[in-house]
Amino acid sequence: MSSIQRKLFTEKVIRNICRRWQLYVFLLFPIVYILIFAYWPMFGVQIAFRDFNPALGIFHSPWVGLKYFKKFFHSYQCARVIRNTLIISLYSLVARFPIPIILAICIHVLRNEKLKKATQMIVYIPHFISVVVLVGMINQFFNPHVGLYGNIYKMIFKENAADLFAKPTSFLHMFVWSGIWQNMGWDSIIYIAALYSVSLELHEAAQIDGASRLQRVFAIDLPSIMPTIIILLILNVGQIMNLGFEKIYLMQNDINLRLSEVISTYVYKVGISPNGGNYSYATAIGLFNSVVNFILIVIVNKIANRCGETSLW
Amino acid sequence: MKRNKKVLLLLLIGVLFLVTSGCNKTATVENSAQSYVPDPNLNEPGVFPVCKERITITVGIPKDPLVIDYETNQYTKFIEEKMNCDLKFVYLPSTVDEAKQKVELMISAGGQDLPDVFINVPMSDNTITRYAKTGFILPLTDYYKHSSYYIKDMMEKEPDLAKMITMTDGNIYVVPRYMKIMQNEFGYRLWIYTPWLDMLGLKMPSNLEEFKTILRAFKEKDPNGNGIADEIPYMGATNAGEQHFMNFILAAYLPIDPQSNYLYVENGQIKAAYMQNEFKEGLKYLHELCKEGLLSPASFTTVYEQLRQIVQNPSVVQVGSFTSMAPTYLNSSDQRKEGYKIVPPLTQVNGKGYAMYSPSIPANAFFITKNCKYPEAAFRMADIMISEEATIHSRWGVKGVDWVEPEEGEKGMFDAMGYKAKIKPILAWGSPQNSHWQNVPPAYRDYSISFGIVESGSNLFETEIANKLQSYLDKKPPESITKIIYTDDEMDFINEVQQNVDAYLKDSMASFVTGTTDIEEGWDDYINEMKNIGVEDMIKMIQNAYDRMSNIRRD
Repeated sequence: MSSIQRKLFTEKVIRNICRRWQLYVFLLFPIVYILIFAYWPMFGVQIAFRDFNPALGIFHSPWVGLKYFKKFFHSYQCARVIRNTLIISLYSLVARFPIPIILAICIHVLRNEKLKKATQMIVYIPHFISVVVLVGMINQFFNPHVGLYGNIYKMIFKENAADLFAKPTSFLHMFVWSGIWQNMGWDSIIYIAALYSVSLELHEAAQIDGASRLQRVFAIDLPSIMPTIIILLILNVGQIMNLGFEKIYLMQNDINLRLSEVISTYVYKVGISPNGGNYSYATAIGLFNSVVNFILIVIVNKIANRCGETSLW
Repeated sequence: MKRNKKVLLLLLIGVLFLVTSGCNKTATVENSAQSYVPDPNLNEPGVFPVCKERITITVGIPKDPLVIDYETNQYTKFIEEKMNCDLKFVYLPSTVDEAKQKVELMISAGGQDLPDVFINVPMSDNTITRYAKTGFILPLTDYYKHSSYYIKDMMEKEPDLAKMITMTDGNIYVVPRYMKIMQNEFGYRLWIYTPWLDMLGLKMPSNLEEFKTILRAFKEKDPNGNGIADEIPYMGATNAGEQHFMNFILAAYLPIDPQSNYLYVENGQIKAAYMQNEFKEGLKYLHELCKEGLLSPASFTTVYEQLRQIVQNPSVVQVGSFTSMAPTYLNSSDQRKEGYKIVPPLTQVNGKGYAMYSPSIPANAFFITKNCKYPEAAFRMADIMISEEATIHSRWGVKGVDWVEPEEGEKGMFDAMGYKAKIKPILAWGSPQNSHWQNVPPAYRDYSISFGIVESGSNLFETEIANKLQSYLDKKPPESITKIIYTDDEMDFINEVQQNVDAYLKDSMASFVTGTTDIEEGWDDYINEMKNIGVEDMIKMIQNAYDRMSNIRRD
């Protein structure tokens, strides 16, 4: 670009901005938000490479290089927390991903508008239950002595129920399926919206050709929402190493600790919990986690781009 | 979309720090080497009031919901009068962990908001040293030497105390709450429902086999008579005193002290209980209980509130036995409160066995921060709190109103053990009041205070505890660990290993007892894993520190 062209270009941009300034004002807030809450904190990541000392501050604590990364990789917990994180996320992803799609299609296929709205409402309401309450509910319902499950069992069999929590693996199933129960309705909303946008003409044409409703689901509905599905899959895979911290932390107990100690809970324990206080170490682990996530999302995006020509960027 | 919240939070803390301290980059690490210069505003130690001119001290304290108003509290007034100062309060969350976390965050944010002193934030020695090194809390060694009155008295009475509060850099940073209460040293007790024993014609158990027979009878003979096998012979929980259901049994095999992280001494040698074969035997016994359905596996997953619900079950008695300090949640209208009695420590069939024993150790109850303008005055405040008058005030309230001196002929609960009555409480413990601080400030009690309470009949469990204490005292392990002080390097290493040991130990005990892992097959792997974590090196290091301390003691 010559200087004249550049000048013209700049003028054009400025003119555009001036003409549609309202839009840019709207844009301002998200940008400021992201700068303050996403970019600015990134400077703090450097404490992963320093021996953080609150009296000296982030910029004056001594550098220690990769000390804390080495410490993590050599620690006895390392393999265990990474393995647990992967197991839980993969299980969640595989079990959780298809269900909202199936649910959305089921709701979409319903003819009665009122029934449709009612179903949708009922399935997405659990999403608003807070995690603490949800875990409390799980503990109460499945308690063998005072819970719903225990009491019903006692009524029928006249003896104490077996303890469902006594097996470490029961944690996995309870964690994943309670999550599915809670979020399937909410997650299906985006698919339902996508299904509404499927052109009616396609359906009419198929009906004239004598396609059944089920055939139309596979031939029209599913392919039409495929881009949405893929984008969401990419986003989900990008979150593989990010398990919700609160729910796991709340569900941990002595029996399931061997399966339930994951990266985020471990970071909390060595970091800001009262017995931890090792900020640098916690940040190093967190940073490692984020880097793995970043790599995963890039890889999946590439794959999606190759195979389905849909991608995030 | 949820981002990694944890990292974000950590980073936010970082930013907060940047913002608050950006203009104050020269955070100085203060030195304790300055020589002692007395504060001219203070009278000689032992002369009251302490301050010549009235000053203000801000106190950070976890807000106990049972204290109506700290500002107008009788104990506050008592201290203010003795000190000639005004107390202002900065309230912290009432649970210990949240309070500690709050302080941790205040400090990582640069410490601008720290009050002058903290009371009842029981930081570990490790944390205290960490804060002291960075200059956030002040060394009190000079004040101990030159400015103490009641504290001096206490230090003379308790020659071991100095070793337990002096860090390895030679400094003292805290004023302790040192309460020698034998009832709490044997705090973890097994309670059994005696009406069931009577009904089934069984005796109070004395060893593990008898105990097992009783539990079987509880399970099979339907002692609550409702036709449903819903009895839970033995149960515990994951927190509070109820979590010691395993430890109580294990103590029949070897000395168990959770306070010292399961370490014990035998002929001067430090040993970890969880590395011993006796420990394995104990776990095997527990596994048998669990397998037969005598010990509820829910013990590993139930929090104590839930266990209490089960014990309190309004329609039927369900729990045969459980561990607890005292089941005070069985309220006075509940008939069961008279049914549950303490089981003396169980032994093996051959009569060997110990009571679970955790010696009284000083709690880090009081420290002074770098923001304090009158550190010596603040220290004198703690000094007053250590006096017997203040100690009693902080627990029982105002003399003559909330408690009175016993009259001629009134006996203390521990009269049989030779302790004279000292205090006759009037104010009930555990209800909202404005007379004292719920027993949290620095204080010093020797055994005679806690043993000198007159039986008022209102607290049934206290009487039961008093009656059974001797049976526990008889089984006290010959040696015990009070408190070991480590150097920074030792502490770093031990801390890290200990964290991993704790996690692995909890997990392994649960899986051996519930049978997820077979104990015969899994034991060797377990021991190897413990060695991998570094237990042996840790024990060696602890042994060193322990020897160092016992040498100091002899000198």
